Amino acid sequence: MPTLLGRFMTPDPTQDMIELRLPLKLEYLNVIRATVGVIAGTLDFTYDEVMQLRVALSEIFELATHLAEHESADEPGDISFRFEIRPDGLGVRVGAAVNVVRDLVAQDQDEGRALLDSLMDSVEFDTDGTVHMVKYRSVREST
Amino acid sequence: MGQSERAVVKTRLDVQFSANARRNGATHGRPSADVERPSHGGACNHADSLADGVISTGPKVAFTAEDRDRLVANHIPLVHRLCRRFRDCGEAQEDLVQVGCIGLIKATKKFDPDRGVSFITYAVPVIVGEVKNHLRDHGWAVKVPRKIQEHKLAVQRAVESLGHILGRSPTFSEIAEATEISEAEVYDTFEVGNYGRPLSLDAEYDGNGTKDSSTQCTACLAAGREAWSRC
Repeated sequence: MPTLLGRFMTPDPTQDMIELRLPLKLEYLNVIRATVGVIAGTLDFTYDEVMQLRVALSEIFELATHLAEHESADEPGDISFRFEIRPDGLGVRVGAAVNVVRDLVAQDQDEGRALLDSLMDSVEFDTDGTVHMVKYRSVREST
Repeated sequence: MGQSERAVVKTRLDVQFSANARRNGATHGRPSADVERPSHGGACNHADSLADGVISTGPKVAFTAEDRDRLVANHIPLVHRLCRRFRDCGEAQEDLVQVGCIGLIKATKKFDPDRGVSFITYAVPVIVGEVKNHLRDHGWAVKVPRKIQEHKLAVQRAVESLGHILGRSPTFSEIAEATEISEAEVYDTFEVGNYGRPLSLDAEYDGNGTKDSSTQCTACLAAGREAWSRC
């Protein structure tokens, strides 16, 4: 499996992690949408922020499934999401069997990338083909 | 109002009916020739006076089938007009009009002139209610439990009102507190909107020239995603 997240176990024992690995098939789009919704909701993100996270992750998921459909003829492969529960928000690292980053970085004007930039507070493309995104909480105190 | 004049009113559309209803409503309580119209022999006159929006003060009289026929026929344009409100709901207009007509028939059966209101006043909410019930029960391709549908509406309302109060989008715990729905149930409402109008899996797809059967369904799902994300 080319660029999945196995070798990126960041050694921060204080940080809670949730990992989700899905086949690159559009049927599972709702799984990631629902999952990120619940995770972000429990972290006291606002309704709008949760919706932004949902759109951002489904955008990546859709791009990856699109690539998988056109690049790899046989097996679509997997996509991994790792949610890092941070004190100030939520980090998400995405790695897929297809090189999502190459596609996102190749076209700087690509609307997919612009969308991610506007939806997330920080988007980083790593050379290993993973995308790391962070969304900060706007409401600090827990109600 | 003479016999011939009344015949003219009868043939007019609902707009005139409601205008009549208002006019007669304003004179309600005063002895008036319009209101205290003598019966012209035969039960049909009840239907006539109802269609004119006249408030009946006489003893309760059951309508004959003929009366109801006339009432229904006279108010079909009203049903059409009310159903136009729902033209964006995804249901065929003709279907809604049919349902609305069922509501109209129900209204003619249950209308009680002794209540002192015109027929239109009673019929409009009955017709609209019938159409709304139809949309609620049949507008969902996949049946979502009523409770979750109601939660979805409550959450949407809460997001809006809390947004005004707080000056920002509310968190889920705030929504849960305001709606008195548990946080877990608030999450359940996430996917509710997705089942309103799914696309047919058999639909023809020619986006990228891939038309073999294995990609057909998934391609449709991709297109459907756009529709889903609006919810």
